[in-house]
Amino acid sequence: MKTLTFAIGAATVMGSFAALAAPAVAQDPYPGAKVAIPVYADTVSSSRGDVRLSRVCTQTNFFPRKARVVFRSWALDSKTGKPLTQLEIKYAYVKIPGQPNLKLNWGAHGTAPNRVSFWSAAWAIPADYPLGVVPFRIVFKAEDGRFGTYLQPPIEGAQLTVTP
Amino acid sequence: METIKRTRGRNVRPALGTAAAGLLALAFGLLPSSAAAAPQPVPAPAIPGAPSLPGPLAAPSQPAENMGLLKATPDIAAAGSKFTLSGSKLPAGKNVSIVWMTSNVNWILDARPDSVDYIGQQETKGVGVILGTTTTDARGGFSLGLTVPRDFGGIHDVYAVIDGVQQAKGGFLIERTLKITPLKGPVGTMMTIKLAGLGSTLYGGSASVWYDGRYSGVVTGKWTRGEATVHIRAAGPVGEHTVLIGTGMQFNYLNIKQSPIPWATGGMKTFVVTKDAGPPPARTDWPVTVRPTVDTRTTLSSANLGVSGAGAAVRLDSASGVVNAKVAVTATGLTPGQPVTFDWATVVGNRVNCTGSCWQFVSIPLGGGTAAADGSVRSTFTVPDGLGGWHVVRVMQGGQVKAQISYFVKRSVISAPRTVKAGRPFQVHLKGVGWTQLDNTVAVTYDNGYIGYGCGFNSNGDVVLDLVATGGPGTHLIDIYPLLYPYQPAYAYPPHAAVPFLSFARDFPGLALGYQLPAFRLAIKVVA
Repeated sequence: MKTLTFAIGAATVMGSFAALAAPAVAQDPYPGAKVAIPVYADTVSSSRGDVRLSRVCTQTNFFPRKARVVFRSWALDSKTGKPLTQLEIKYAYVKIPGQPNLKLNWGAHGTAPNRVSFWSAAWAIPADYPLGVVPFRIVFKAEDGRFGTYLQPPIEGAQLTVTP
Repeated sequence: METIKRTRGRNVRPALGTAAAGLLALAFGLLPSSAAAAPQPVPAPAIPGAPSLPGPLAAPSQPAENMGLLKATPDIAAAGSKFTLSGSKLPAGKNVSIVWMTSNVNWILDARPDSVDYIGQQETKGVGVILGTTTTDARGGFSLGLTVPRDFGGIHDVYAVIDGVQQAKGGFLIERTLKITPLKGPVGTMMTIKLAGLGSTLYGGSASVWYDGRYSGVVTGKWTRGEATVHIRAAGPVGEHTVLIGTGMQFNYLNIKQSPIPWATGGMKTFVVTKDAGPPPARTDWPVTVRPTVDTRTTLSSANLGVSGAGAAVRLDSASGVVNAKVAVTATGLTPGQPVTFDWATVVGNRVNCTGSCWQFVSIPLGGGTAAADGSVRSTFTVPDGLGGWHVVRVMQGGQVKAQISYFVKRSVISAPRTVKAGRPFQVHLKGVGWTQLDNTVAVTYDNGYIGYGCGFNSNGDVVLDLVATGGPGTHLIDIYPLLYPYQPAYAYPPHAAVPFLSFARDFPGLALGYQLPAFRLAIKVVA
């Protein structure tokens, strides 16, 4: 769903530019290329950390230094359409420039009836971490050897960003 | 022959009637109120003293599989400050390009023969420039001293690129700075407000000026890479006054620290008014002179421009002037011995109370003569007392337009009182106000507080502003600024519109089309 949102957003932005700059270029239709393991990811605020945002567990991509970024992710099996859990995934991690790989864990979150399971990991932003966009990458490897990766859409302002 | 079209029951103003009554006005087209928009970013003209891109454009590069980090010390500072950028664990003995990511920002206009519509702004992100180069040592490290470039404020990503690969990433935040000079003087003292570090984004790219809590106008720095220099005058009474630079897009974003751009801060200074020595002299502040980057001129049309006109040419002894100015015109390349007329292409109408045809082209005869044996003719005409902005002088012979040339009508102050009784109404009279969304309206401040606007389209460029002498006895300031008009046709959320545009002199979209729109600075003495 989020991927769809990104795609529509990207299409909208691109459409706007296309309207402003000739010649217009054809857009890639949604969905894009078929992949073995499509991955969704987002970031939310944490209830912990030396610096805490005013609202917790809320989607955002702007985090001040010393705050904790919570990565949330879902990986789907394109053959079955079902989410991949710790039973099917050999390993999963977030790759952040200059940081050790951050292991993603599968678990249930929330309370009934809104309890939901997903992959997550928390990253405490170091006090001296560079400002600006964090070009992170998420990697899943399934037990059967297939990979799934996630890169942020190239939409500045929608990417994970470290602020003072 | 009266061909001026009345629209939806609106009466044409007397000034127009007077100007046109004895003239042969030839209508040659009806225009919808909302012509199909073809908005385009207008290239930035060369603004004197404005910074250019902070370095040469960098070649495209790709992120490394294992990207490292760069350390900037400090990593928050104002333009012009020194900082050190260092990296480690990079490929040893390699040339490194320090690529600074930034944006370009342009205004968006829809420029047509019948009008110019103001659309907004466009930011082009992801512009990488080379800020410096160095070489990694045997251990793959480097340390490079750099100067914070004069660039848009906010966060900039910085990459160490080796052989086309972004091997490491850092970041830098350019702070906003504010300087106001002087901070003391009599009523009417001209203050220079210098801002730097305005951002490239819509929300981070402007500021507002407030004088004693009164809104003075908006400040932008789109074509000047986040730098802005504006002027306001110190208003009374004697004593301390607060000059506040607000954050946000147009007015004041009061909780900017809770926004995604908490660094887009404002500032505040105290100005001390030392005395009231009476009204300062009236003055006109013109924008910088730049070479336009867009050729489109209103009323310039190829309609009825005959092929037989090939070879004909026309020139004027001035390219701009106020209404009633005398202009010498010379045309050449015409058919000898045949009558020649000059006419003035303009429009009439308004933007109010209309849903169909709101204005139309008309032409006003300027005189003429007979082409001499060498095919030339010379004459002098008076700039019609009508709309300001871009017009065209056309050379007509044998029912065809043989040649044409653009002329810009500047706005001017016709009259303003110097002394007014407290609480009494008074008028300021302008002429040469235009009709496009760049120049159809003026914004008026009274003692640096925005009090309203005046439009010149329906009254054919003639604007009589009705004001009231408030604030008690003493000197009071009236400043008249350009304004971007956002209505009829209205576009989605045009920013910075319908308010005094304080940065008109260096960052106004009309500069790209040759519009010279000034600020008029007047003053009155209010007496008991």
